[in-house]
Amino acid sequence: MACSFTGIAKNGPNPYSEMFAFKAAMKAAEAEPVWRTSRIIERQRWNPYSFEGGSTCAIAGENFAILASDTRLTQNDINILTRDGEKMHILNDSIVLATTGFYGDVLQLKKVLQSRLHKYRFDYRSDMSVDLCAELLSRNLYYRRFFPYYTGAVLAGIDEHGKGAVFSYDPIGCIERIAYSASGNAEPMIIPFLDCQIGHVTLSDEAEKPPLTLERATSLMKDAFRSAAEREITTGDKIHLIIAEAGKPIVQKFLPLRED
Amino acid sequence: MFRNQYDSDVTVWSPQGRLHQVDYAVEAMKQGSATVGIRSETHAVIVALKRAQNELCSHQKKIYEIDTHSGVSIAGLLSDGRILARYLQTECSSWRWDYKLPIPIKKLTESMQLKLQANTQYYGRRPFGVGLLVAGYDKDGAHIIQTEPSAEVVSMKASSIGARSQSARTYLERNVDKFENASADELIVHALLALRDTLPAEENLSAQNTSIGIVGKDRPFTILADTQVGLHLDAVATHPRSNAQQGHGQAPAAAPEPMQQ
Amino acid sequence: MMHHDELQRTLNPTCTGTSVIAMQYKTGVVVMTDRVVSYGKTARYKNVSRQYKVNDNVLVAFGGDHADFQWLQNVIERQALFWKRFDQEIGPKALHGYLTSLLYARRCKMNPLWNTLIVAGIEEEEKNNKETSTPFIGVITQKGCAYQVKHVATGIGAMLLNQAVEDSWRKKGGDITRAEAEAVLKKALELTIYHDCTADNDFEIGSVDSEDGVNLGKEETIIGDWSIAETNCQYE
Repeated sequence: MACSFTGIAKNGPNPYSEMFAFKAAMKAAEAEPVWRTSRIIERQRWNPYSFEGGSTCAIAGENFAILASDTRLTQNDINILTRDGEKMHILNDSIVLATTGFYGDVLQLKKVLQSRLHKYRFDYRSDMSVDLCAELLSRNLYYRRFFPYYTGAVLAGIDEHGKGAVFSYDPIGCIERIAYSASGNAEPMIIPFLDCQIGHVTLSDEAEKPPLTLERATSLMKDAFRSAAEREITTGDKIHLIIAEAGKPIVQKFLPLRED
Repeated sequence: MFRNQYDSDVTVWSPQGRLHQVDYAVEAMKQGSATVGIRSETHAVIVALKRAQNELCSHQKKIYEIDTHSGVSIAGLLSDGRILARYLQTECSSWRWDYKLPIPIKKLTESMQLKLQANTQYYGRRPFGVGLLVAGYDKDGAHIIQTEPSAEVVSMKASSIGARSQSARTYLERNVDKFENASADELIVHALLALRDTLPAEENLSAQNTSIGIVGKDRPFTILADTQVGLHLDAVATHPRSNAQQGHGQAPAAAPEPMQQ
Repeated sequence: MMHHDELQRTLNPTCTGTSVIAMQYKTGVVVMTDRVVSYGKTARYKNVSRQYKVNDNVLVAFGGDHADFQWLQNVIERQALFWKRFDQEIGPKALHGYLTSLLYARRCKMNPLWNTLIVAGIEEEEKNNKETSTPFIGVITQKGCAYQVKHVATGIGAMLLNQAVEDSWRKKGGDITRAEAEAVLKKALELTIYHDCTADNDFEIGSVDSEDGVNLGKEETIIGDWSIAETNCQYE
């Protein structure tokens, strides 16, 4: 440790030299505090995370859940890796995982869940329900509390009662079941839009509040992503839509989006 | 088969070059209720007979799905069978973990063989008292793999193991030419006809005591629901039980009283 | 301050390869790499191939640390032998999945493999079926971020060439012949030697084709057009 400060001498020949020494010592201590372990130093040197951008969104209805994401993967926010990335993963007939963030973690998280669902199917001879999977995902995220999966996860599907379900997470497993959710770079743009259109939080009591049908949810999704793609550079290329309706097979659609 | 001084452990040879403990385990397999497997070019079918100990009891589970492209049916000690099925499931799962693809059936076969063999060579171990029929479909086509407690693992066109399986084998041998190009439904009927031959004349297949598992091209492994089983049994019922008596004559002398489990 | 365990990790690559460019055509994939390994900006080793033939269905090309890739070649070879043990040839999807797991696991240990990998190939069963024959290009970044593409440029090429490659791909409507794909790659290489100071004009084009299998390309050289250099007045 480069620490040359030895205390302030009362009657030194040059008071400034002591001050400079003190400043230098402070700087050195700030740059490399003694309490830093080699592990911490290393983490600061090499960042294990990268961000591939994009956005996902999910809306729960009475008997359906609809999810959407864009399909762009980016590098350093400006360079497009691929225009056909998969941010949503169909885990079984009633569960869909939509994630943004570090794509390596996204893939790992998907693999962990698929493996657990595989085991569940063998043990119980049926597919896991979305409520259970939601809890499982939360535990898995929290398990990596101190080296988190850097993902904004949204889990959606049809629950045991045939109702649409959307679960929202933070990277370390905080979980909430809500009516609609978004995650990713355009989250700050999509959420207020849905607050207005579905949550009706900004509307007066007299205003017309249309019921949330599948058609309306679908067109809201399209609007949300089209406007997000106008302003947010990592969101674009295609809208990937997944619709889960109670008692029906999952439907997937791709719609074009801005490519610039 | 009688006790003798060379059967105290799997590691003990008899002077005739047999491992009696292993032979006993094979006998356990022969006493479990029968199961039949057949494959065509595109599909593999396994059917099994489920016993219920008495009328208050539910039927045994004989067929397990181990992955989307593979399933297994069991004859012998069902508790041992479940352990092996679970082992196969973890093999499938860990292969998917590594490669994001379903495991090739050949690899599954190899893992299975090694696991079974270990229990026939080491002191203090007990061979698994089950035979398995693994049905699978991968890029090499449809497969039926037969395993025995002796760690004999063979790929078959058609196979039957368990109590009175000789009768089923007779049926399979007579009709083996028809399997290669059979449709999925035809394959199921063949398998059920073979399975029916293992039954005594006074018993018959029913939706309750019959399990059907099928896998094939563009068809993930499924265990058919009772209603679907019923439909296939209707098709089977149109075939007369011609050689029920004949089948009895060919049944092995062993297993006079099927083991209860 | 240097810690002992830092010395055992690739936190700074030493000898590196630069861009890889790959493109699909109807029945296969062409992959282009130049043949130089750089030490910083020095062209340290010339005439080095940056592609590895796994078997007759799969080819791996790399950018990034060369030592790490040589180690990876050994890992891949062992995998290929492992699959042979039960009469299988490892396919591009399986190898891509495996290498993704490997690179991700290493980044989780904070001990990354400093490579960007391109896995190119054709699945064995699709080789025999011309209608469904879909060539595969998989990309894996150093941190285990993996995806599939129809055409790609990695490293500095991602900044310089992705758009150029994509434009030529789209001009043909995605329905491109092998000769056309090779022409695009060669044009792309010409652009890299103008702009990327660690790129070389010695290069090779490897290919995976549903009929010919894997072929590592011969060494080729491109000169390019340097007439504009005469008018560059910044160097006296």
